[in-house]
Amino acid sequence: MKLTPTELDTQTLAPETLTEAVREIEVNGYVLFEGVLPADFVQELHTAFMNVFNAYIAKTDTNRGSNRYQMHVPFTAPFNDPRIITNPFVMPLIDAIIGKDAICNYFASDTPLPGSDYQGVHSDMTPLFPETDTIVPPYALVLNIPLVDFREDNGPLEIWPGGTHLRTPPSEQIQKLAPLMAHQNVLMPAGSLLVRDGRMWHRGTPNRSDAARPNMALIYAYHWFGIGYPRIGIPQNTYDGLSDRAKHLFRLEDIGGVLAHS
Amino acid sequence: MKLSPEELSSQTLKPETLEFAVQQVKINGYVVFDSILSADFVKELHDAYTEVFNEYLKDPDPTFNKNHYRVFLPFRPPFNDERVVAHPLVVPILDAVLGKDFVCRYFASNTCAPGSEYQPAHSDIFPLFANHPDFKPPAYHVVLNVPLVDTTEENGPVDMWPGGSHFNTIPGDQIKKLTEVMPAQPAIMPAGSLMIRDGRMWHRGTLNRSNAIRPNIALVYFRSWLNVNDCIGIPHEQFDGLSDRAKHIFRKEKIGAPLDTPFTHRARMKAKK
Repeated sequence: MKLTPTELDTQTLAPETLTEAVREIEVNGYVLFEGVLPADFVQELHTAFMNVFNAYIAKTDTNRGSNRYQMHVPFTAPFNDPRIITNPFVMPLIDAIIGKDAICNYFASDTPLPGSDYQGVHSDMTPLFPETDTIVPPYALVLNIPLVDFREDNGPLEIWPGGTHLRTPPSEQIQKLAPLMAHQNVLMPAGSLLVRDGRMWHRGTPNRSDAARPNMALIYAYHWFGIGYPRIGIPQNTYDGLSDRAKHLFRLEDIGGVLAHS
Repeated sequence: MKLSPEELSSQTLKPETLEFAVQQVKINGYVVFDSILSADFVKELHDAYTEVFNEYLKDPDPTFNKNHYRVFLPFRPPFNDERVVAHPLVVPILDAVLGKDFVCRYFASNTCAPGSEYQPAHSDIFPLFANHPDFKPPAYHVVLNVPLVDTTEENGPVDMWPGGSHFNTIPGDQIKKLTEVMPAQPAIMPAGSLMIRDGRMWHRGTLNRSNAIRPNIALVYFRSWLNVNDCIGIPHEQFDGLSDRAKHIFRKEKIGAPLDTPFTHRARMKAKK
């Protein structure tokens, strides 16, 4: 959805927008706020990201299929800007769905390079009760921030909205069902905010352009949900400089630890 | 419940016993297998425990309720015996209730000493979705209790509220009010019994009117995603001697760390705060 000029000016969602956005996540599995971050900030993020990324891939094997990388992002400027970690359009969604006690326990990125392939369709989250058919409320939301425009040709994220976040069958069943079910590419301008239930089925698609397609990924969750990745390394002085909300979000991470890739 | 002689000698539950026990945990909140551990082994545990407990009493934590002590156990013999940590009669129940990926992340004991008072009734674990009170999740935190003495009316048996309280992890003041009109049941069982309970089921420690402590080993098995800000220190020599299944169950702990004592555990928790 597009936010109104007033919402963008005041950096505040209108109450009806908030209600609608929460409903979209809970029912459809995601909401998209298009092109929210200012272009110069996105440019700054992109430049900083590509520096870290290029150094990373120079010494790392591809780790999400051919020419596709997951990379943890160092918890430092410009990446840990309040517009990323405590974005005023995102926090009310986290508050409404997870609550004020939410944590952020993942600070990373996904980047297909030219020559990448389709991923298997998957959920990003461990199902809580896989041996049952219990339908579970949302417990982990992914915030994606594209650092370039997502176009048909550069490997956009493909999603299966409408209810797949409510069921996480074994992978082979997902592969069988997914082709029969409605899906769509998420085409969005750089600096958009995509908030999705991490369980919603999705996959990366081939990047047929000549440039990387970086996408930041943060996970906001209930404090009890362990995602199985190492804790985020946050130097003490960085942590001390965070807002109270950000401190609360990152309270369970490796405070006093070292930055990713340092 | 009492197991059949064949089940006891083979240390294997019949399919129908397993199903019935799982049903009890899921619906009633708990199941007890009476007198499973041999008297010799219980005595060995009791003797070793008494040493740990007496050492602990030299510098105990402040208790929330008078003469009720929570004492973390060192992960060493006899406490880390497979008959405690991965009992063949218990693991299949945990598999069914928590899924096969479960872990153990809590290795401790609860002991009430003579003169103990009532605890407020409580759950041992927070609700996953306090903001969705109508959502009743399956089990995610299951406690194994092993009493090291017979628990009787006199020596402070745990009072339990079975039958459904595990589906209602509500604030303590509400539990207090409701338990005034809901019947409690004392967990009376012989030493060496195995009690498997959903950690959400309301319960409380009670009055020990005897002249001896009533120690109760407590392990907690979690779904693997349940985050706790704690771990068990397990030296390599203790971990390496475990069965493959027990290794899987303790895989998330601090393997290779020095042996935890109640005091080192406390120091680590303080440092985290």
